[in-house]
Amino acid sequence: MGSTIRARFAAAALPALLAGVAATGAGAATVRDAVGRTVVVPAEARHIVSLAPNITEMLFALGLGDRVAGVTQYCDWPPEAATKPRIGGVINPSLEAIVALGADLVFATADGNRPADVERLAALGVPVYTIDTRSIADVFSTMLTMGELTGRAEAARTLVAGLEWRRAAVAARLAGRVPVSVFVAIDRVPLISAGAGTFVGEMLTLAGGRNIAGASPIKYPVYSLEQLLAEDPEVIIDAADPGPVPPAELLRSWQALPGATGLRALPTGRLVSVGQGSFFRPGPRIVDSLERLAEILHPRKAGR
Amino acid sequence: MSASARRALLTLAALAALAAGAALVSFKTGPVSVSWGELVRVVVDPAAREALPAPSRILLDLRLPRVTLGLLVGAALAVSGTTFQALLRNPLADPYLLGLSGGAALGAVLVLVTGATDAMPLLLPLAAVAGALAAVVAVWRLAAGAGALPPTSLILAGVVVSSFCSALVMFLASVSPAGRVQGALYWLMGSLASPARGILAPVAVAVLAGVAALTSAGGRLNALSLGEETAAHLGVDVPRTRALLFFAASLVTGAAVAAAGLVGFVGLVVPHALRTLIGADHRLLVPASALAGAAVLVLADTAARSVLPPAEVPVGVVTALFGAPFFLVLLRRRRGWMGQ
Repeated sequence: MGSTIRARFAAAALPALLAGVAATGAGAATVRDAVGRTVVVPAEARHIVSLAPNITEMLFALGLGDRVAGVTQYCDWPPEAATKPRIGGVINPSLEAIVALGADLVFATADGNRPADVERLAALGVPVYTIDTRSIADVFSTMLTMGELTGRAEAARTLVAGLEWRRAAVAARLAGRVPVSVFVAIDRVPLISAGAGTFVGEMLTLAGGRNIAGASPIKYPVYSLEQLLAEDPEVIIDAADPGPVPPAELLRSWQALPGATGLRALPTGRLVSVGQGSFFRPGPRIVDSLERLAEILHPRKAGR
Repeated sequence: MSASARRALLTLAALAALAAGAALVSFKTGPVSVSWGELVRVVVDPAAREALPAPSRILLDLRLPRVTLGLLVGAALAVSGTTFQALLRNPLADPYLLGLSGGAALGAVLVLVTGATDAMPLLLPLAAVAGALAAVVAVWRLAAGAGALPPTSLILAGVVVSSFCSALVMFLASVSPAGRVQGALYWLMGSLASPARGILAPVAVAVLAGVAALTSAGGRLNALSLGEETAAHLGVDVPRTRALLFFAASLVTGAAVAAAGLVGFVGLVVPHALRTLIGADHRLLVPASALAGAAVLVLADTAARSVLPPAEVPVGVVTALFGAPFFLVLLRRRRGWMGQ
């Protein structure tokens, strides 16, 4: 495969590259990452590479922006991320580019990056720490860990404490409310939803929703339109478009689905587009999305 | 009426009954259960539709188009498979062999990844058909460039064009956002769930016309499947007939692709299974394929809707899962099935 050849070239170029950025072994910490690999993390990584958009957001949120050396082509937030060198995609990052940037710490995610790429980077002598964010709690604990690994423990604690507080505020506001039946469309054609045990499913539950796809045997099922019509949820969250779309256009898209005109969420204005771009991205903005979802499902103002 | 004609009519009647039964079962089955009583009332009594809004919407807006589409697509694929197998005298020929699927995939993925379909859902089937037919014309041209259009050069040209299209599809997939690629891949797997609005009628016309035309060509297909020289001796205008049948079968497949994406296996296996059961007289085989293909695909789609409710499985997966073992049993029973 071409990537093997690339890796060989990279290996050949490695001594020359590492000579410039030889990390001192002093103060390096040996840790286990979220998937159980042992990683030797340098005390103060200066050239951090992110292999996923949510990692990039976390790094910037922890105030590590100036130490981020490279991001993926999908890293669109915060705006400053656009100024960083691109190292390729999530499933096809250029290992050569990562080595060439002098990466002394790489963050990967178990949900997206390929273990083979992680292994090869490690074989090239680049420490790779893999995170795993399957729940909001995971997102918070990952940011704390990231802070500790990069000397930003204090900033991480402050950030996470604020987010925890806001999450608790949402829970407090919804205490005692009857869950609202809700359906989330990850895509419209085919109609794909998110079942229990998914990040999206957890968000719906925390925001005071009863996810009608919760009983699905598959995590992201191609959902039966028939079942959707029979359940007829109060609220439909549409995350099929790249970004939020205007209500009129959204309504047209849904009316084009066979039988969907009979759904009560359409005429009552409770079909809402959130866009797929970053709404359910397991990163520091996840509480913003949670607050927005809670507002959609349980509006503060009675009546509309 | 001769004995053989009577047997042919009986065969077709039995298959028609099978297709009708499959359609009825499919209409009744789904994640939302509807009793026979409700079903009959919704169909015959407009007043009941007011009283039973949910079941009637599910039956009339969802299941009825889906069952109809299943019958049409199944018939289209089986008939074009039968035609291609006879034309190319190759038991492995299927509707997608000659670049059709590659071209359709390329057309579909092109409009899906550019996001053009968001504003115009009808663009997808149109692009798929355009791609499919462009690929078929390219295959025909390539093979005709080699002179006599023997089946081998058609198949070779088909393989080459398919590979080229697949390479382009892979390239587009590798440079597009993941979400769009997923949608495109799912569409390629084939599904009867939500055909583009307004496509059912044109597809029905195309498929029924194609099936009728190919049925009437049964005699010429018989002659062609004996070889070109023999067919010419029998008075068939070989180049012209072959071109006509080839494009008729391509159009029928194109219509099926437009409505349901690429549903695999039906077009390869149904013709074979029938040949082993009723013989290779295309005057009977073509209409029988239409009915059997319709029944098989509708039953497969019923299973696709009911194995993991409320999730749905791609129908092509079901056809292959159930079709492959069935086919192997047939093969074991009939040694020497390839000796044509």
